[in-house]
Amino acid sequence: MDDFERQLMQAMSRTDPPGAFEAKVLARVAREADGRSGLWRWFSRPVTLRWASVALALVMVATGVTWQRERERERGEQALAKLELALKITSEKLQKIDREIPK
Amino acid sequence: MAGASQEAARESGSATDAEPRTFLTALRAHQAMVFSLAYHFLRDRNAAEEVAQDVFLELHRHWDELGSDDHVKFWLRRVASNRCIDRARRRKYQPIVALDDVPEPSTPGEPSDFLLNQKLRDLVSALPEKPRMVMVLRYQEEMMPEQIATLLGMPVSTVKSHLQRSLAMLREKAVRSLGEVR
Repeated sequence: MDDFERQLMQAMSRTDPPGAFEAKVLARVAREADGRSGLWRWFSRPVTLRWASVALALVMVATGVTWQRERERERGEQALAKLELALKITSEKLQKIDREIPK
Repeated sequence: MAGASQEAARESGSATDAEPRTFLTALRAHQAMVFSLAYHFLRDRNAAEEVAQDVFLELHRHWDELGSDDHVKFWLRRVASNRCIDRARRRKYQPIVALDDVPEPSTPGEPSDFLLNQKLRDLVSALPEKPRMVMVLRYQEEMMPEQIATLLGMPVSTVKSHLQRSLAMLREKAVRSLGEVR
């Protein structure tokens, strides 16, 4: 190792972090631990209650999906009825015009 | 300025080994190492502090998986290096000035150690990411090329090549600007 490298080593010597670094890290660790404990509380509920929550969530999702599909089906039927009516009216008008045109 | 406590901890891993291995003792023993890695690489105290905090938070998450203090130190160096490089790439944390654009010192003659050190840190910070990290690990942590290769997951020949090329560039630039460097 030559003088230049030794100088480089001196220039790159370790530097202290800003004040309160340790406290800031510990505060972040504590915050994360709090967050995890909230999740942990949920997981550590009695099994029946935990599964009941999951089942309720599933039922709600299934109900929402079914309701959405039913609405779409109803909308489709209504659109079809309107179309049939329109065709029927058009057909009647065409027949009427056809009758009125002198042959 | 290097902290006496951190220097002591750095010199003697055994000083901390004597204490029971806790997260707090690891934090106290290695905070200067992690912060300095990030600071010498990023050259931004706020960014370096943020990276160092993230590294220690990650250490806390993995604390139970780590064994000896050497293992902890290796893990910290590796995670800190990767995070610094990621951050530099993500935020385009390119050196503030390109190596060739580093200004010549305004005062000719013998520069003080402070100015010389500042100049050398600026020159290192102008290197591309991988060579920069290799240089920081070599000259801050005094690691051997083989250790750096293991830490960064690159061939030893690549590490040696980065070191040689970076040193040659720095030497040339320093000689040009300072004149006195041997």
